[in-house]
Amino acid sequence: MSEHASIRELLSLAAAGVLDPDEQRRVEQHATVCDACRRELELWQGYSRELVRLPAPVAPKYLADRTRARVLEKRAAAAERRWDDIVLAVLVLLCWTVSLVAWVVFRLFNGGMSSVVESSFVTILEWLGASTLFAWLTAAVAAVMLGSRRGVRRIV
Amino acid sequence: MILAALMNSDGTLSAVDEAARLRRGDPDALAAAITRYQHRLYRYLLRLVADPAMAEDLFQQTWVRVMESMRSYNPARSFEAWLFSVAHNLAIDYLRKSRPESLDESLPSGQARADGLAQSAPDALECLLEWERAEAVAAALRHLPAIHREVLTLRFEEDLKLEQMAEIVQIPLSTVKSRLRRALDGLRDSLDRHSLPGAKQ
Amino acid sequence: MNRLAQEMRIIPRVAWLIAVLAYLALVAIVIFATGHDPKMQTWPSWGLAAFRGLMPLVLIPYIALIGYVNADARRRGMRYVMWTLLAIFILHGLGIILYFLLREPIITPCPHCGTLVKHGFAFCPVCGTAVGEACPQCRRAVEPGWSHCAACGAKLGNQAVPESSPQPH
Repeated sequence: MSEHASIRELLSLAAAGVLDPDEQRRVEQHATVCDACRRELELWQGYSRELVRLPAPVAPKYLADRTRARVLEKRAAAAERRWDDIVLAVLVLLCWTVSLVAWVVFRLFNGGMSSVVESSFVTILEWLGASTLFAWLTAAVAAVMLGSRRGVRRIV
Repeated sequence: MILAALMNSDGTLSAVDEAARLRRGDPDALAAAITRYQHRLYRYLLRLVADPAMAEDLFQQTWVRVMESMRSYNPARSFEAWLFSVAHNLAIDYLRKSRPESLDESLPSGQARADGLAQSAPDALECLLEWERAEAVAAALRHLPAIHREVLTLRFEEDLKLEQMAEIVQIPLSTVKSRLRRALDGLRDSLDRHSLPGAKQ
Repeated sequence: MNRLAQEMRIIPRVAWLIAVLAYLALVAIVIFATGHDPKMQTWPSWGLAAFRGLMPLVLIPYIALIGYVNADARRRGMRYVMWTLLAIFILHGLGIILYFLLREPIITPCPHCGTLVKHGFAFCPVCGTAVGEACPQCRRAVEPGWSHCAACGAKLGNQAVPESSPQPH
């Protein structure tokens, strides 16, 4: 490509001020000898000026406050959810432990420590199965009764 | 006391400390940061999506996302560049969903100027009076694809260097250069088409 | 931990008392059940003490939680008697878990008359004082960060965002 043609490619970028120093020098040197390119460069510089001088839109006054409120609210909600998750995890652990202890105490009465230590897996499962099933049934009934009155709570 | 120690000699808090305070979730630091960047960030988003209501919403989403991913922010990086790149991603996602055509560079206004243009043809901008030019440029901008508006506002209104622009738009430096050139060509083309009296259609 | 201490403070003293008594009772029961147990004679004495003393400890947090359910349901304006009974009688502590999943947000009293106003209201039903942000057009409650009212769609403009807006719990 001829020098003139390759310079023409760079004129808009030269006016935008993004060329390397060497490229910029090349363009300026060429512009001193080539009228057409000099004129073109001036035109592009006009565009650059207008773009810089564009009236800048201003952020509405309420935007900063409302953004801050939204961000803080989201963070509080996220922190709350994290706390709730921890609480639930601990509760589940506690409930399993209580069940285990209840079973042990029950067995102690029935057959003494030997029946606890030597229990077959099946008897443990029996206890677990029966009592858990019973607990779930009652909890399910309670949840249905309570849940049906709540309606949609999660919004936005 | 600690605050005084952290302040630079000109009274501004250094960027590292600001980032540290934001990471801790300091509400004052958040409010200060939002206020400091509000006009620039809003202007950037408005140029990108050309819809004030959407720009406001994206503005809020940007800050929410910034606070959420504060942990993955590398303090060595410029906070501004990161902030704007988050905004860029959100805006592009929105445009992809609602106006995918505005991400397409191959629209007529996105094509490079034909070299065979007569040099003596009157230039659209020059034919306009001083006070008409800003209006015409703003109108021409609206016809450009969003990604062209983006590089134009980053270069001319934000006054960023190519490297900073590349970081925000997340494309290689050479692509920024070529996209900027196409954007400028497209702008001039759009002005020719829409404002020049008796212009070629 | 701060949060934990804060929450634990609402557990009524009675609940702690019952918890300790229940613990002691269970220890007594376990001792009774294993007093003459042949298998247990083979255990070292610290093992016996651990088994009889530590295992029943689990009862204390369990009963304290039931007390928490009672007090927390009360301060949230829920039917606390029903919830306490559910927490007690549903096996394996599932009633407690159920409570945590279904509880209502915390209620803050109206700053003027002190009535407990439900979350989501913009004005106190008793004295009319504003307790939250309200839409300028339809006067319904709006949340901070909204750009438009969710009820009537009006654009929300330059309202002052209250510094201490009630946090959803």
